[in-house]
Formats: sequence, structure tokens, C-alpha cells
Amino acid sequence: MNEVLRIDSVTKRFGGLVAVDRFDGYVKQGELLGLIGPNGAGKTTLFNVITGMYAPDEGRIFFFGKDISGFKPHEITRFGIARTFQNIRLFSDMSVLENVMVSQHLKLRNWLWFFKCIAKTPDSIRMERHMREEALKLLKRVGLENFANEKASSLPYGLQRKLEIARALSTNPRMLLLDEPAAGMNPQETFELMGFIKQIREDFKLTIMIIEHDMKVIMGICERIYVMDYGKLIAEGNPEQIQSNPLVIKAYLGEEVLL
Amino acid sequence: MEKSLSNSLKFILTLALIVVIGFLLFLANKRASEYVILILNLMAINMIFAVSLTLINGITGIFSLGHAGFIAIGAYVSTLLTLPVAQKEMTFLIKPLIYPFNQIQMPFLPATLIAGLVAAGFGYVVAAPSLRLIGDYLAIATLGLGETIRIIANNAWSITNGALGLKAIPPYTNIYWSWGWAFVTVLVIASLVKSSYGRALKAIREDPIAAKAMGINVFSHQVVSFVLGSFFAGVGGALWAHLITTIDPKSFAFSKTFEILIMAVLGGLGSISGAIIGASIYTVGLEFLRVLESPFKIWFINFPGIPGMRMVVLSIMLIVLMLFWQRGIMGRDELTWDLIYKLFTKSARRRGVVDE
Repeated sequence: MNEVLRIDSVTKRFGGLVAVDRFDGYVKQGELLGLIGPNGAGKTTLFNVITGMYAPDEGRIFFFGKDISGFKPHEITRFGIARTFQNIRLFSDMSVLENVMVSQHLKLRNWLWFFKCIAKTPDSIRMERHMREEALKLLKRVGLENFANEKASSLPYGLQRKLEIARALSTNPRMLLLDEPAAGMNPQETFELMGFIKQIREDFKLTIMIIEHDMKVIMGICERIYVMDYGKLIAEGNPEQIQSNPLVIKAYLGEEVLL
Repeated sequence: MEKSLSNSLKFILTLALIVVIGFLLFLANKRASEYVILILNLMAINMIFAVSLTLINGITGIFSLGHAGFIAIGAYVSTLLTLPVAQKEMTFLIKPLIYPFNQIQMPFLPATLIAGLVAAGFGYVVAAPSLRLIGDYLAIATLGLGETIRIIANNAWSITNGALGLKAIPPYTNIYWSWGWAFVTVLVIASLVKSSYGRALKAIREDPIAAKAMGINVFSHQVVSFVLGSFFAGVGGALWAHLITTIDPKSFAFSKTFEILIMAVLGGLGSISGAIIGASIYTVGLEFLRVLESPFKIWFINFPGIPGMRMVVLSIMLIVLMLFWQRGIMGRDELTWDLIYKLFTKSARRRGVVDE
């Protein structure tokens, strides 16, 4: 089994609240893994711990066997984990193309580039052209090339979601974390999104972990699902197993009261 | 459809503009009165201040209010390096000047560079802790640190001559120094902003959390931007000291920061060309409004000259401007040849001159 990510007994507390409680899990190479649970179950917190936004209080996270817990978010992105956000976080006052080009910035590995960029040396100009081409290629790939020079905030909602995914892909990740990509989409947009996610997994050879409340998306594209409630992992399995799991039904619907 | 200009044409136009400005400055230097030359110098120095503040506040989104502190450091350091040794002995009456400074005197260029580097060093010392704060708290922290620098200058008698200030500074600053440095400042900062680093800095301004997630080391980028802005503030301070030839801590009170902030906001916070325009309008406008401070007459009503009247009028003008032009003259756009071309063709099309 080819493991990309291993989450080893991770705990994250906010004061007295245990947002993630000794979570154990793994993600296999090329897998599309769903992460579901009622509101406030700790799904986004788990994402934030994986991407380094929060340091875990306990436990460790391994990415391709390397311990990445405690690294800063920008370092984790450089290791190859990219993400999108629950509430869209685009660079709204910049153009669509610039949004994607920002993610190419991590190619400038040391501060020597800073002086090269000011002096506009030939290799910095070549680098700039390379970044532009890569970004344009990606925009074409996701079908946003006609909006390249529009302001990001002027895009319709569905395309803003798509741009956020494109921007994450531009960091050249090996693993992609999607936080509620279908939130606020209509059924048609959701259907297209499902195809799009499957497609980018093939094209970019990605491993994808996805948080979503829309069960159509989760049941439709995920191969394996983790269910969280109150910070704990309560169930694991393929869509059929999850749908019939009494613990999951209890977490979502509550217990049946017998009279 | 929209046409844009070719890169080579833009380059030639820019070069031509620089040559024309250079030639005009050369003429002004030869023919214009001392008063006009003073204003031209001030204009260039204010451009340096406004553009460096724009890098920190407008591009990177660090709301810093400590600019006057770095200007003070540049002014003091350069003055201590250029002031003749005999003059220093005459000036420092209450406490003698400390060792390295009381023996050295160097030319203007190295003094300016060292002034900039020392200001940049202080910028690093200030930025590293205060960038842990965000938003209003950061503004207050930088404001306090800027004031701290001024208060130190007020009390460190053996370095700054305290409240008495430094006098008889050699008047080295001329049109070539001030405009030369303004040119270098704009070139360096514009070149930076137009690169991948500029995009990264803007991304940090737009959303620091998303910028982190895209692999940008937010903290180090902010520090570098702050340090570079401080460097040019220091250089501007050196030029300023050698223009007005006398400095004391009061010249660097936080009203100086606000003066620069007004220029940057007037031009459009986040636009380098806006900062240049803002600095020019502010400097020249303040001089034109001087007529308000001498007695004048409109039709048959006599107005007595009230000192300070021009500041009142200027403030009202700024308030009105900000009401109608909330993002300043340029907003966050840059004045490029493409923009001028587009404006020109658009207005021509409206008049029916160009038909497509």
C-alpha cells in the first residue's frame, strides 16, 4: 500500500474545546478520500493542522514518510500539499492570471532572486515568462483562459471556486485538500464540479482529500470516507458502508426515541 | 477591439519622457530662481518618501505610521557623517559628540548610502517584532516606534545635540541629487512591484492566509518590504537634511508621517505613479496656496493674511477630494502608456474622431 499521508493520533485543542481528538488516518496514493461530519465536527480544523495553519497539540503527520507536523504553512505547500478554503479566499483585487501566478512564486527558492528581479536580469525575465506560460496553461486547462485579465472578484461564484482550485494546482502539488468545493453551487454546477475533480486527479496524478456537506458529491466520487463527530473519527469505509452505518446515522440524525 | 502598444514603443516613450524631464530639470537648474529650485528639490524628496511609504502601506498592506522615524535616522546619520569636524565642535556645546562621528567627514554619496543602510537596519529591528501584530495594532506599534526614535533624538545629546538640533549642514542637495535618487527609488520599487515578488506582496495585502497557503513566506516578505521602504526613507531623510540645512527632533514629529501619508493616499494608496502624482500635487499645491497667507483682495472684499490659512484650505480640498475620489487619483492602477492610450482613444471615439 502506497501511503501519501499518515495522520498519527493528532489532537488539537482550543482552550477547553477538543476540536480534533486523537485522529488516526491515512490517505493512499491516488485516492479520493471524503471527510464528512456534522457542523463543528473538526473537519476544517484537521485540514488546518495538516496544512500547518495550526500546530497539532499532540500526534504527528507524515507526508510521504516525512514528519511535517510543526512546519509552517508555506513550507508544507512547498512539500506538495495544496488547499482551497471553505469561504473563498481569492486575491480579489488582482487579475485571474495574477492569482494563479502568485502560486508560481514558490519557484523562487532563495533571496538571490529578489535582487535578480529588481535588476531584471535575463534569467529573471525568463522565469517571469515561464511563470506566465505555466499559469496560462493551467487557466486553459480549467477553462478560465477567457477571463485571464478580469479581476478575480468579478468572476461568478462557480468560477471563483474553480479559480481557487486552479490556484492551488499552480503550486504543483502532489496532494490537494478541498474544503467544501460545492458549497453554494447549484445542481448543474455541482455535477460539473464532480467531473472536474475526477479529471484533475487523472491529469495531475493527484491524491485528493475533500470535505463536503453535499452527500451527492461525496457518495458520487469518493472511494473511501472518514466520518468525524466531536473531533473523533467515528466511522470509515466506502460509500455503501457509510450510508448504512448506524453510528453515522446517529451522528447526523440523532437517535430514534422508542415510545 | 482594444489595441495595445508594443513593448519597444513603450520603452522609447518612457526613455523620451525621462530625457524630456531631465532636460527640463537641467534648464530649471540653470535659469529658474532659487525658490523654484527649492520647490523642485522638495518635490523629488517627497516623491521618495511617498513611493517608499506606498511600498510598505499600499503594496504590502502593512499599515505603518513610523515613516518619520526612518527619515529622522537618515537625516541624522548623514548629517553626522558630512558635517565638518570643526562645525561639530562648535555645535555640540552641551555634550561633546561621541567617538566615531567626531573625527570623520565624508562626501555626500557614501553618507547618503550609509544613512539609508542604517535606516534599513532600524527598519529590520522595528519590523521583526511589530509584524507579529496586524491591522490597527500594527499601526499603533509603528507609530509608537517612530515617536520613540524622535524622543531618543531629543535626549541623546552626545549624538544628536538634543533639542538644539544640528545646524549649518552643508547644502549638498541639488536638483541632480534629489531627482537622481527619486529616479533610482521609483526604478527599484517599480521593478520590484512588477516582478513575482510584487505579486507576492500584493497577495499578502489581499489575503495573508491564502498567501501562506500558496507557499509564500508572509513574514519574511513583509520584513523585506519594510526594510526596503525604510532604506529609501533614510535616503530621502539624508537629502532633506542637506536641503534645509538645519534639523532638530521637532522636524520629525508624526505630522511628518501624516504629510507623507496624505501624499500617498491622495495619489492612490497602492499605486506608485499615484504616489508620484500625489507628492507633486501636495508640494506644488502647498506653495500655490501661500497667497492665502498674505493679504489679498477678491473684487472689493479685503482678506487679511492669516498664517496657517493654507493648511486649512488644503485640508478642506483634501476632504472634498476624498469624498468624490475615495481611492485617490489613481486608485491601485498604475499610469501606464497603455492606460493613456486607452483614455485617449476612448475620448477620441466618443468625439467621433476615430472610427472602427
